[in-house]
Amino acid sequence: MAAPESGDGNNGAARMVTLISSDNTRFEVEAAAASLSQTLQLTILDGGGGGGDGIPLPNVDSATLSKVLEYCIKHAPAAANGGAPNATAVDRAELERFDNEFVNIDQSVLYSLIMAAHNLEIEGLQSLVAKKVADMIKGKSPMEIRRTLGFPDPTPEEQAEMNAHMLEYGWAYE
Amino acid sequence: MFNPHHLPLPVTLPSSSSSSSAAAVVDLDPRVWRRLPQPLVDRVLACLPTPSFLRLRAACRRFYSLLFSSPFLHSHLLLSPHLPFFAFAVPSSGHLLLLDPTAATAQQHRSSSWSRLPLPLPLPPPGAAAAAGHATFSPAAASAGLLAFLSDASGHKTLLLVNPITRLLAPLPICPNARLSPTVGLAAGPTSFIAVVAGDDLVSPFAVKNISADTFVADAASAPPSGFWAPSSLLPRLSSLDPRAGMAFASGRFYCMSSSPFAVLVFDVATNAWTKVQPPMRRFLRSPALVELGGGRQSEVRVGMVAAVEKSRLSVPRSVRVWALRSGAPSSSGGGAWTEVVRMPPDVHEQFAAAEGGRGFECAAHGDFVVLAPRAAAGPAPENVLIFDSRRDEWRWAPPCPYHHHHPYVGNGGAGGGGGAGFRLFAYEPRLATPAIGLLDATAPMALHGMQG
Repeated sequence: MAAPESGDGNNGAARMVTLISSDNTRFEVEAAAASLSQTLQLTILDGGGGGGDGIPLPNVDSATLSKVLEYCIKHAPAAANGGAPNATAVDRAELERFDNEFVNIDQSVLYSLIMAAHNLEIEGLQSLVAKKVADMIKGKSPMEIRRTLGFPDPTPEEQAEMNAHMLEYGWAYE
Repeated sequence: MFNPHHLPLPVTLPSSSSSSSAAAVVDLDPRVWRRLPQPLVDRVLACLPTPSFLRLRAACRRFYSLLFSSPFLHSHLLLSPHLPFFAFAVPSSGHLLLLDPTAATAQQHRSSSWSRLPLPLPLPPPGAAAAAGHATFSPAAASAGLLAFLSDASGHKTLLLVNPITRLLAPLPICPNARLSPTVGLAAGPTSFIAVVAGDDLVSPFAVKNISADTFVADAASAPPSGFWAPSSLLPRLSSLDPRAGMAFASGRFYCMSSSPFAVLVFDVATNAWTKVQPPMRRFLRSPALVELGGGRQSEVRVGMVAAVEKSRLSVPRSVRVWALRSGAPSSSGGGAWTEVVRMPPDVHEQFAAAEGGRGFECAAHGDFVVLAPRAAAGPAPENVLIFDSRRDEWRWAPPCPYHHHHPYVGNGGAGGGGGAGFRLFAYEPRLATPAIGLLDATAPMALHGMQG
């Protein structure tokens, strides 16, 4: 069942690419894993990142990049199956367990991850971290969110609007 | 503008920690998160459960306006967690009582299982009101964040689709056939919905009693996308529908109970045809209800039946049982099409039977949960609500509903009487985005309030 190895096959077994973090660490990773990033996928399809070249990522430090790649390597097989229609329940449970474990990390690392996932356009990772952050804020009050996001204290006018909203959506506060 | 039902709510700012302290207390560090760019803030907000989003929406004007942003609503539909809530509709109370069956698993904060969601009741038509009394509507079905309300007056009924969260409401075109108190089914998807209004034809005493059904299909992919009523089809002979029982929907078919004798009627939407399936143990059933088992965002819905079983022989103990209809079974008749899923343990059943007192019970299923509520003896509000959690294989009582005594319209007999007294129970997911209602755009859905610039 060996697939004919056509020279230009982008999906050829384990084609490797090199990524270079902002602090000049080189990471060699399978093209399929790196292609979870929409941004990198274009470069890789154009044949970039192979050989000695490497793709520089000036916005991602090595600690964050190694974490991002850990996610990509784990999720690459399922992504290759086109969203995993034929993945078994066991596979999905294993990915879910990995994901839960993966985001059980310090807030500053979460922040770096979601920023990197955003810059590299890794849809699944963005959502995974966003869900984790949503879990952390879902019980907070509007005032606490303002403080967390560094909004200035509300003007009396804004305060009145907040009160009106609470009156209107009182059930969500019960 | 303001609905008077809102006024008694507390004006004070609730202290944040009161309802949330038990859930993993993580203090978010402003030094980290204040740098988060706006698109990512929005992505996080789109992952919030609906009630949390509505609460945090008050934080600033930009968050507030997200409820009117289509891209945001689309992300929220995709990213926010499925909430397997239940809605108790108490006649003429002006609100739904929402039960979160998952909150009851955490031992703390018992009251957080319940909340009270005001309904955007349609305004009575000006002028015409005096003679016939206000046009009133009663909730009749629920699907995918939408409730269907049916006009109470007999004749050509009006069906309204309502999203009680965003307070959007849109009427369907008036029903083609006059009816008294029909059974209603609703199945809403992301780009389509189907409504069925069946039975209780207003026939003259001299006419042969043909019981019929009308179907409304709206689909973004068909023309016109705003939908139309399909000509009625006839139900099997001698069908007798209970309008309080409602319909369940799975895989393109609606299911409803016919009584004396009990039978399950199956309506295939594509073929516009009805068939019959024999229920299990049908001679010994009492208060049977059809429910939608499973059906989170991941799993397939199966039709289930929940009923009290009362057989005099001691070898078959009285109980309440849940069966699932085997997929692909509808055309075959006979009770063999059903698989028993679970039955109430004797000790639980003893308490449940005492609370129920033979009056029957309301029942619905949502995700991993089945909820049973005895029909009320005295007040119209639910008491002694029982939850079956299939994931934990556990029966437990919901915390008492704290809103019994806040019922402003008790004794207002005539007003919402269409479906008879007593509450109805629906599987209801509070959703911000209910795109199906947008298919009715042609008839100009209106937001009643909450739209200040």
